[in-house]
Amino acid sequence: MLRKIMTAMLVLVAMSVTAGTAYAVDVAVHGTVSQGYLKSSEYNYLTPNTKDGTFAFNEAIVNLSTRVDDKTRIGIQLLGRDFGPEGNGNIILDWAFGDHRWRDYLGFRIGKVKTPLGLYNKTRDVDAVRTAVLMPQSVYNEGFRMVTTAFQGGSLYGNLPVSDNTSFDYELFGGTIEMDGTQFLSDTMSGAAPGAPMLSYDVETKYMAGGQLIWNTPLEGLRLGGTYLTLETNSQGSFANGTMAPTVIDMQLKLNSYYTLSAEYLWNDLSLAAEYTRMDTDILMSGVPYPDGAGGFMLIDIDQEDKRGGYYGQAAYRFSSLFELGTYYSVFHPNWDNKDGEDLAVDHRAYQKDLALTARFDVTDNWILKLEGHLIKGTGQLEPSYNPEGFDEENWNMFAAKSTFYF
Amino acid sequence: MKLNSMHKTALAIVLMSACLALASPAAAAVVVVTNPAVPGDAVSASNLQKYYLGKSTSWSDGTSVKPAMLVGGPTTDEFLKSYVKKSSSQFKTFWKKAVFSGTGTPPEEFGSDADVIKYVAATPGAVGYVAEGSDTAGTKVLTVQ
Repeated sequence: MLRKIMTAMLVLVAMSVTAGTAYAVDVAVHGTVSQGYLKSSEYNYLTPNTKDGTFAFNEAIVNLSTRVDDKTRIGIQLLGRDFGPEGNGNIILDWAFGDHRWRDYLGFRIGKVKTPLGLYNKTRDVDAVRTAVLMPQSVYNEGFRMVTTAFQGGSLYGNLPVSDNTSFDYELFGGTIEMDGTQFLSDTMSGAAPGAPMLSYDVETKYMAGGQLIWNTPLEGLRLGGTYLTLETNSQGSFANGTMAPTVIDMQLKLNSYYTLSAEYLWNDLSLAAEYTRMDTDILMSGVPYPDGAGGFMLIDIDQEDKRGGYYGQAAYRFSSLFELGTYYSVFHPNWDNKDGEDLAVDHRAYQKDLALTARFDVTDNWILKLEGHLIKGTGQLEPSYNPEGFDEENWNMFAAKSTFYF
Repeated sequence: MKLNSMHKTALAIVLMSACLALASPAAAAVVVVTNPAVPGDAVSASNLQKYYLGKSTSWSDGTSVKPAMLVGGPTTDEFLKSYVKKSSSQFKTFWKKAVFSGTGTPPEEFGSDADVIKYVAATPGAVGYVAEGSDTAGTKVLTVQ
């Protein structure tokens, strides 16, 4: 499916480029290249080497688009990314779709389409459009990025005017997700078979569907919105099991509800935003090896619920064309039903509260430099596999820097 | 305390400056023009905002709206502030988001008032803005309501 979409889009773009010489059809080309740095005082957060400092935090984007006619556009975006274990510089199809806007109130997109989730998910790959280096992880979790970034399928969208200064933007979408290499799923499965090396891993999305509604309120600059999505996947992991044949774990993951409530207010050079998200998932694993008490293993089923959520508030102010200052406070709970860590061996594993401050310098029209500090309380978003020494410190901090060139 | 003539002059300059600063020069400094075939002689400020943000894409006769703008500068700043209700940086960010998510194409940009007028005059459905006093021959000047 993905290969077909990519081939079709490349052919279409190539045709448009060819046509450009004869019919003056323009192909717009844009791109960005970013290099970042992360250094934490205590833990390996987001990457396995953050404590020592890591430059494995970069991305490059090439974007081509053209108009077929007044109502139809096609475009393609390629993304190469390195972020800890994710990406490794491999170039992937970020999105590629055709877009026909029949009326202002109804258009459709078909192909690999960016997922509307919250206010900023569609542009989370693009450093140049925000103040912060790292988006608030309570809502825009990097570990989930490959799940939420785009889907193969279609969407209906439009703008519904209510009055002269009020309208609703909507988008309804459905399809499947390319989930190969998604760390969350393989980590969940590996967690059920600790110490057993994973030999192979395969995942298939049965469906993904959702919708977003944004109210452009009568107060100029104020937008309020909500997004909902649901999806179901089947995955299979094969694990080495001593001298015996490999253990195969089947995992069904059903994301029953993943929703985000959003508010944004723009006033002159001030921008304010707040979002709240909840994600409730059922995970059913079968064939999980479990010690049988006689030195061997028996295979059992595990049925677990994952109820996570978080929220953040952020503010940014542009002082001049050169300088912008931003801050956010982000709170995440891996288990929404246990926010204080009651009965946990380490109570601060129940939360992660992040106060960030960013200085953004637009050095030229095409070059941005960002410096960012984080004061973090709690360890609820840290990967145990990156931090084998445990989680002794509740309070820690992190420094992030990023330089982005874009055109 | 009596004011001498120098103080009075200084006070007058300060008051005049304050009045000028408080006045709204933006709307007066920018002229909105369309292709002559576009229906009507007026446009609402809210529609103008929708055209430049890509939320409304057709005129009342069904012709596609083709917005044009100047590359930066004070006229653009005034136009965006007065009618699009965004700062220049917010407007750029808005369209960068649309471009990199594939959801929109920003307005055509031109380097001078004359280039905007030339494009608007020659392009059905085009709308643009120029500094007040520019030669708008070949286009239709719209009243913004």
